[in-house]
Amino acid sequence: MMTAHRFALMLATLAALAQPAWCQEVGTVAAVEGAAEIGRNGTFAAANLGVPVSQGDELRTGQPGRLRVVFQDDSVISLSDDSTVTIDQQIFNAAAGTSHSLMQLLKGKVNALVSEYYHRSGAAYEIKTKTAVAGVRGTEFAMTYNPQDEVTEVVGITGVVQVHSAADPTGPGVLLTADEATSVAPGQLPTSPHRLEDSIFRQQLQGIEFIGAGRPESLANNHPLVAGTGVPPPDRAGAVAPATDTAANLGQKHDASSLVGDSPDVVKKMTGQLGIPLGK
Amino acid sequence: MRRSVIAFVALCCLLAAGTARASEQSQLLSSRGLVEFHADRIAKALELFEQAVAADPQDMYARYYHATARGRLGDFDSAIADLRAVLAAMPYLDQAALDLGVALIQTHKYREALPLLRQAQRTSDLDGEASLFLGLGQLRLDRIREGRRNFQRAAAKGENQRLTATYYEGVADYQEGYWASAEAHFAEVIKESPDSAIGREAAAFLTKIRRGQQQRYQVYGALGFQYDSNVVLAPSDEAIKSSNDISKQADGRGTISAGGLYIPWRSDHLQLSLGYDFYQSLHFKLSDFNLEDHGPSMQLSGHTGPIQYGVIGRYDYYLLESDSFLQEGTVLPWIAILDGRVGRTEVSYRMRRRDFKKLSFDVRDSFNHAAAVRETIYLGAPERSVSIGYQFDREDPVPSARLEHEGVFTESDARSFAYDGHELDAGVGWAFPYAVTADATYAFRYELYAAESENPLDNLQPRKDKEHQFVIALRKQLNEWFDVTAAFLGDFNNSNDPRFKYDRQIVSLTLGVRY
Repeated sequence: MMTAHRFALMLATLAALAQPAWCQEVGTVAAVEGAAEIGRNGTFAAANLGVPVSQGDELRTGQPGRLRVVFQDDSVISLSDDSTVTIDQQIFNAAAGTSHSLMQLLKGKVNALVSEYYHRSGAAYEIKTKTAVAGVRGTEFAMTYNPQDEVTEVVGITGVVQVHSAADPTGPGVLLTADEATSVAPGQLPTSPHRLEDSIFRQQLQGIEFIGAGRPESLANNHPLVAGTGVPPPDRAGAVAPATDTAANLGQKHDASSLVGDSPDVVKKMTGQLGIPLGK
Repeated sequence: MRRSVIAFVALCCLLAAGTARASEQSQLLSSRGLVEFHADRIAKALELFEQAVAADPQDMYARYYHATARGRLGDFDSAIADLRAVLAAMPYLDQAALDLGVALIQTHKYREALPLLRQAQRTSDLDGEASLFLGLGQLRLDRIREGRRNFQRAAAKGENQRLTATYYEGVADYQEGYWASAEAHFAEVIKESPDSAIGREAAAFLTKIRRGQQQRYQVYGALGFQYDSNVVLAPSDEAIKSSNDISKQADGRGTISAGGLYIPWRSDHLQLSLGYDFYQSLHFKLSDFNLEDHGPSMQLSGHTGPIQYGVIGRYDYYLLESDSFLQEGTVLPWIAILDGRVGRTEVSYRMRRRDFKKLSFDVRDSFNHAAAVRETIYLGAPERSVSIGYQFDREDPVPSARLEHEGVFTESDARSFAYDGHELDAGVGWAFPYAVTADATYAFRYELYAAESENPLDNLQPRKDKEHQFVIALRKQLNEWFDVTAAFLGDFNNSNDPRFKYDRQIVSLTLGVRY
C-alpha cells in the first residue's frame, strides 16, 4: 500500500524529471579554498562563492582544493582535496515533507552534514561509490573512495550511518555510530565497524571544518582601504601635516616678545641699556 | 535478544547525538549563514551565525563568522569581543588575529592592534594585508619609519593591497619631508588608478607638494600699536628715579616689522634659507627710544626621521633714532625631536656677541652663551599644548681695552654686568573655534651677578635679580594672509639693588600679514 509520503515523493520525482536537470538549482557554494569547479553539461567553471549548484552537476576539487555546498534542504557537503562528486538527485519540498538526496562520490573524500528534514520517515540521503552505499537519517559522516583500489571508507561522526555494499544494496549492512569506521572492498560486504583512535578521527575532519580559513569573510577582505575605494579622513591630503622644515618651531609659540608684537629681545635690550643707570 | 541489542545501540546513538547535536547544528547554521553572507545579506547571515553560536558556544568558527558579520555591519566593539574569544580558544588562528587587528585599527586602538597584526604577518597569505594595517597603525602612532617598512612589505606581498600600500608610502614620505619619494609614490597611484579614492587623494597630495616646492620665498610684515608703562625700565624707587633724573617712563609707540625668507637650495633632507628682517618702533613722546633694526640671517636646516636640526646665523644692526647703536651676532645650533602626536623636545645652544656702537654703552659689550631645553606636550593636537622649558645663560662682558685705557670705565664696571642666569618657563597654548588661538606663559628668571656688582645697600652682597614675567596673547587668523594679535606682558623684576627693581606692563595690538 502506497503511503501519502511515498506518493508525494513520486510526484516530486516526476516533477523533477519533467524539467531539464541543469535548470534545477538545488544548492549554493558556501565556502571554497584552492581549486574547485562545477561541471555542467560537460563544461567546467570555477566554483566561486555564491555560485548555484544544480541537479546533475559534477563538483570537483583540485590539489589543494576544498568546497562546501549548502543545499536547499539545509544539508551540507564538503569536498576535500582532489575529490569528485555528482549530484544525481536532489528533491526537496518542505511543505510536502519530501527530502531525497542521492550523490555519487567518484573519488576523494566527502563530509556530509545531513539536515533535520531527513529525520522524517520516507526521507532518504545516500552517497554512493562504486563499491558502497552510505545512507543516513540526520547525522554527519565522512566517506572516502579511492578509484585505484576501489575501496570505500566510511567514518561516522555523529548519529548513525548505514553502510551497504554496492554489489548487494539490499544485503546485510553495518551501522556506524560516532568515531566508528568501516571499509568496503569491490564485491565485498562492509567490514565490521571498528572504533577509531581520537587522533585518526580528528584527521578525518581536518581541513573541512573551516574551508577558506575565514579569508573570504575577513574584515580585511574587500575593505575599502585595501581596495582603494576609501581613504580614512586622517590620511587624506587635507588632514596630513607635512614635515616642518625650518627652525620656526623652536620656541615660536611661547616667545613672549614676538607675541607682544615686538622684535625679539629688542624691548629688553633697548631698555636695558637706556633705562637703567650703568654700573655703580 | 537481537531487539535489545538494537535498542541499546539506538540509545547509545541518541546519547551520542545529544552531546554532538549542538556542534552539528551550529555547522549547518554557519554554512547557511555563509551563503547569506556571500550574497551580501549580512543582517540575515548575522542572524544565522547568532543561532549557530547559541547552538554551540564552543564552535569558534561560528563565532569567527559572527564576528566578521558584526564587523561588516560596523559593530566593531562586538566583533572585537568575539574575536578575542576566538583567539583565546585558538591562539594559533592567525586569520582571527588579522581580523582583530583590523577591528582594533578601525576603533583607533592602534597599540593593541600591533602585536596581533605582527602575528598575522607570519602566515604567508595574510602577510600583505597584515603589513598594510600594521603600517597604518604605526603611521597613526607616528612611528613613521616602521610604518613605511610595513607598507613596503605590503606592496611587495601582492597585488591586492599594492596600490594602497604605495599610497601610504607616499603619506609617510610626506610626513617626513621626503618630497621626491612622496611625489614618485603618489604619481604611481595616480597613473594606475586616477579615478579611485586613493587616486584623487594622491593627486591632492601631489598638488600640495608641488605648490610647496615652487614656493621658495616667504614675505611677512606687521603693524602694531603698543602701550608701555615703563619704556625706560625706571626703578620703582622714587628717590632713585629722581636722583637719576628719570621723569617720563610711560609711552605709546607704533611698530613696523617686515621681513622675508628665500630658499636658494634644498634637497630631500636639507635646505638653506636666507632671511632679512626689518623693525622700526616710533614712540609718541620718547622719540629718543625709537629703534631701527636690520637683521640678515641664514639657516641650514634638515631632518632625519623624527629629528630636525639646524644652525642659524644672524647679524643685527640697530640704530637708535638715526645713530648707530648696537651690532649683534648670533649663532644658534638647535635640534628638535618630534615625538609624533605626543609632543616635541627642543634643545638649543646660543652664542651671542654684542658690540655697542654708542660710547656710553660700551661697558655692556659681551658674549652670552645660553643652553636651553624645552618639552612641549600636545593635548590631543599640536594646537593644544603645554610646555615647560629651562635655560641657562652666562653673560661674559668684553670691555674695550681702549676705553678702559681712556678712563671711560673700569674693568670692574664691565664685570659688574657679568651674571649666570637660570630661567624656567611654563606655558599653555590652546586653539578655539573661529580660528582663535591663545597662549599664556609664565617665566621665572634668576640672575646672579658677579662679585663686582656688590651692593652697598645689601651688605655688599652681589646683585641678585628675580624676574617674573607673564604673557597672555590672543591671536585670530582673519584669512589666509592676515592675522591680528592682542597681547599683554607683565614684567616684575625684584633686585636686591633697588636701582634694578622695576615693573612694567605692555599691551599691544598687532596686525600681521604673511605670504
